[in-house]
Amino acid sequence: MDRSQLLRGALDAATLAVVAEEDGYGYDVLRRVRAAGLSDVGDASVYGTLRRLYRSGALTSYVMPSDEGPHRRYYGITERGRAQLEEAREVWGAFSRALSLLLKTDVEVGV
Amino acid sequence: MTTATAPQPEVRAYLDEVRRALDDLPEVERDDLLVEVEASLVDAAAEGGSLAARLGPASEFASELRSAAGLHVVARPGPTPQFARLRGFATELAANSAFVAARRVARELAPIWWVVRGYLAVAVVTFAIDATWSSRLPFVPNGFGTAATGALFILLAVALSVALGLATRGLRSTSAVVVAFVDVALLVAAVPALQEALDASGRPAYIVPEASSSGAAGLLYDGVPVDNIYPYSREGKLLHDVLLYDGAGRPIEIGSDLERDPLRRVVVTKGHQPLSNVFPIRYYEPGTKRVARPDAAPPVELPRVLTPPLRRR
Repeated sequence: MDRSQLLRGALDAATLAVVAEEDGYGYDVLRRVRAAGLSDVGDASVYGTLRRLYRSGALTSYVMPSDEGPHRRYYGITERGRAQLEEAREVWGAFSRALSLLLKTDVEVGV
Repeated sequence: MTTATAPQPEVRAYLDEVRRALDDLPEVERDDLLVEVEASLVDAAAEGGSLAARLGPASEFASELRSAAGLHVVARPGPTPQFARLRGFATELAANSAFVAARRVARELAPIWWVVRGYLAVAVVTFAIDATWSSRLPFVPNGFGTAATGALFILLAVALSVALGLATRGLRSTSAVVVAFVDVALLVAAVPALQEALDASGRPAYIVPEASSSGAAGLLYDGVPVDNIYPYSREGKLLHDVLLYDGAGRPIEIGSDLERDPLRRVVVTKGHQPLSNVFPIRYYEPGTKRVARPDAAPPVELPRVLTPPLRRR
């Protein structure tokens, strides 16, 4: 399977995990997602995901003035977002264990 | 990092292009997305290098943004909210099991509609061009004057309609939608056309003056209006142009309102007064002043007369 296709499904969980760690604005969230190893995730995918999670109530947002350009919209995680992240952890854990077994890889998947 | 507070021209241009690609979204939705993107683009531009090289074409960026934000892609820009609601209703309807079953039955019965449609097309054209209906064959128009041609038109139209039905069966394209619209229009137009056909089918070929059937005027026999009289001589010869009068010397008239039946042969006096008590009443061939069969009469079993003729004194 194409790596980018896998990423798309996992992007919600990745974005929630990054924001749960620390509030961040769009470009900042993108950098941290990439730094964690998802290097080929697209800019627009992350911004779109942030907006969608915000609309669904998983994220909250607030605006901070910036000296260097337009105001930045920061995102923080909500209770609903934490519940969603927890659920994603379980689903992903079960899924990756099953797939690792099927593909008979020796990679230990820690969640 | 740049210290400029206004976005660079490159960012502005890229952002404008993204905005255009998202033109179909509700304004609030689009602006929210773009505010998010703008700040990030400024940061990205600050890291150097061309934005387009880094982010790809603006149109692809917009479509990725839209898809990740869960805003479905609209193929054509600018559908009205009413149309979107209609489409939503159609989608819901298509998922309804009763509707699915009904549609399957309708599909099975479609050939019947194709045949009916062929006839309706002829009926509507007949009505539209104000052509006449056959008096012999109910619901068949007179094509170029005869019912046979009219019937041929119907057969042709039915064949065409069935061919059209087979060609468009199962199609979900624009042409199928066009055909559906034409079908509905045809049904609407068929209402007055069939009404006219119904009115015409009960009408006899030659109009009997209504005065004779009203009961108040004309001639009755056993309470039934008499529409013609066929006098014979004692030798069994059909007589022509016999003038009849009653005991009070009044002419026994049938259909005295001669204006009403243009085909009726008019017998006039020397003073050009039309007579309505002349029998048998004869009718001209349409469009002529000729009576095709002057001796035409109902089948009559004529008795042989024994009593000798009256002698004149």
